[in-house]
Amino acid sequence: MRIKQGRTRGYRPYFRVLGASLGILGATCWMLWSRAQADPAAGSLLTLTGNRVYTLDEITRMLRERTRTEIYVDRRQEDRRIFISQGIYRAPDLIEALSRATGMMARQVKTAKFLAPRDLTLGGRAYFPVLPPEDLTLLGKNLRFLAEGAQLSENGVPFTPSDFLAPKNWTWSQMSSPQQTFLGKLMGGVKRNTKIRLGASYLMTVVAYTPAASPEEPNGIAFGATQQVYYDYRDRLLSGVNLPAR
Amino acid sequence: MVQITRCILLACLALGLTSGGVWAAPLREPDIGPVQERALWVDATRVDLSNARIITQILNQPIGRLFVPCFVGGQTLYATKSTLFRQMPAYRGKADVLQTLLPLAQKRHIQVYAFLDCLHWKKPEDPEALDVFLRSPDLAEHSTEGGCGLPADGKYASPFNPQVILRLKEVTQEIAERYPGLAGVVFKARLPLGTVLGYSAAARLAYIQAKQIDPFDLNLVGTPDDLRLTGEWVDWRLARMADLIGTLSHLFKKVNRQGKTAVLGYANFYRLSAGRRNTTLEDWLNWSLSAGIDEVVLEARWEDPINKDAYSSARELVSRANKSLKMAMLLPVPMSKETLVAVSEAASKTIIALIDDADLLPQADVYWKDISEAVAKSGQKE
Repeated sequence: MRIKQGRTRGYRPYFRVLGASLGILGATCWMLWSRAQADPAAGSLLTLTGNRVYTLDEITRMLRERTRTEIYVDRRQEDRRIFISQGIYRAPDLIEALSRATGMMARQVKTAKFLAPRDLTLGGRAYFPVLPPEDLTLLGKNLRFLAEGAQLSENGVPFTPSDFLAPKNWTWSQMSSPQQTFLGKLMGGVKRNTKIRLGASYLMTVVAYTPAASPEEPNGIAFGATQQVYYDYRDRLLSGVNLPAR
Repeated sequence: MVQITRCILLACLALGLTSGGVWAAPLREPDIGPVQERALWVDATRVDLSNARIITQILNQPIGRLFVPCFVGGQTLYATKSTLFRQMPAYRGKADVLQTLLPLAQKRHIQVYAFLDCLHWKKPEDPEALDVFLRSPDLAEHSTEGGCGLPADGKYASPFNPQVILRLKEVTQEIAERYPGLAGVVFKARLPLGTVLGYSAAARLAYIQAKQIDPFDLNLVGTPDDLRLTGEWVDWRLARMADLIGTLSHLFKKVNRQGKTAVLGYANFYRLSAGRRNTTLEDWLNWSLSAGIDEVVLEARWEDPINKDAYSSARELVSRANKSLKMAMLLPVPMSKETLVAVSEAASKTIIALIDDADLLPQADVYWKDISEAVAKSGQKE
């Protein structure tokens, strides 16, 4: 595994690819019921109607306004889009899911959570968490069906799931006009001769938290797994990591 | 005859109002000479202002204004009601120095200004026991490494922390209400030059709330985009300092309607690189433009040849800003030959002599004569 060295060089080269990648949050979350009970923010619920794509700016604003959870996202990442299925989510669960789906760190800064592009505990060396290649491969294998089933066009993404899953580079001229516009907006200032690799940065399964319908009933238990699946933009860093064919 | 009568009268006042034995030196008429305004800045942490003889020596100088530190190193000159700050150990259990001094100074038409060093709450030379941050570590400003910067710089309070601002407002209000006879206050708000401070949790949260970027994620060197974002952060930091000064200035003037507010500034601030300016954040010109500041007291290592024209450069900046801002030059006593050259280059009409050793006070004739001669030279150049 190679790790990016030097703070000044930063994550920008990866950003381009990351900008084009789509975090698909089909699901969340890996929250134990006992943990939910102990969490003081457990009562903060956010109801999302409809399965759709949100920008990080939009979803963090909804969390702030509707659950009084002070959360912000690095504004350089606020236009990143993420698919979230409808459901009722506990704020801490959703924040963790957002963190995992985007590869961003949910830092605690005094009273606020902050979705940041890198892990401070790693200093200036690495900007994204790294999972062992075998884990990524296994998870990709198990969750590929979700990626393939994503309704991207309904959410304003002019690509098909297979575009994201194919391990190939795109040139600007190979893309349609809507695709160029979409990527140009996401990537801002991308040069026309840049080779672009699309990728699904994360795939996740979801079981939404279900609050009890009456005081006598227990709350629904949030369970499931939230996993990183595939970092397309990292295949140069992690050898042998590819989403396996079905 | 009139002069002798005044002498006796003031000596009697001094005897009546100060404790201990009073050495009543003869009062001299101020010999203004080429210096339009003379002032004295006495470092109360090194010069014992509870000593009546020293007070007399100070008041006998040919000065129009006297600057007295009231809040430095996170300590107050007086017995404060603050739950955070403590009184300077040298003045504990003694009569209130300023309350003794103010009527005496007023009798001699000397205006008294209180000085507040807003952010430098722990000086390196102070014992650990006086460290405010031991009681309230959250109020300190931090570097990227998480510490308070270089040990030789001491420790600084965070100008981005609402709790710090609240504490400074309390002190400013306390001083304004306690000493209505003050002619004004001087604020110093500076972070250390050697380290970029601004990574405390409070500072990060404030910037995240304002701009949705954690300062930790900014590249201080990098691509044009990186630099643009860093520049935005610097502007925000400067604006917060200006807000702080504006808030304190407004508060003082609200209580003391006749009072003036001044800031202490580094004369060469605007000749520093952008990176250096981002460390100290001592943007005195913009403070005076935006925060209703009446005067700027400029300091520098005047003896250093590179600072020879620092004062005149600063004056030019003020002039270009089209601001009628009173300017003063702060000169540590004793002065070297190089410092006096800087004085003659500066052509400042207002000179403030900084005294940090009581033994220098009897030498007033010498240093004021030197200053007068240096200023006279500048007059010849003009």
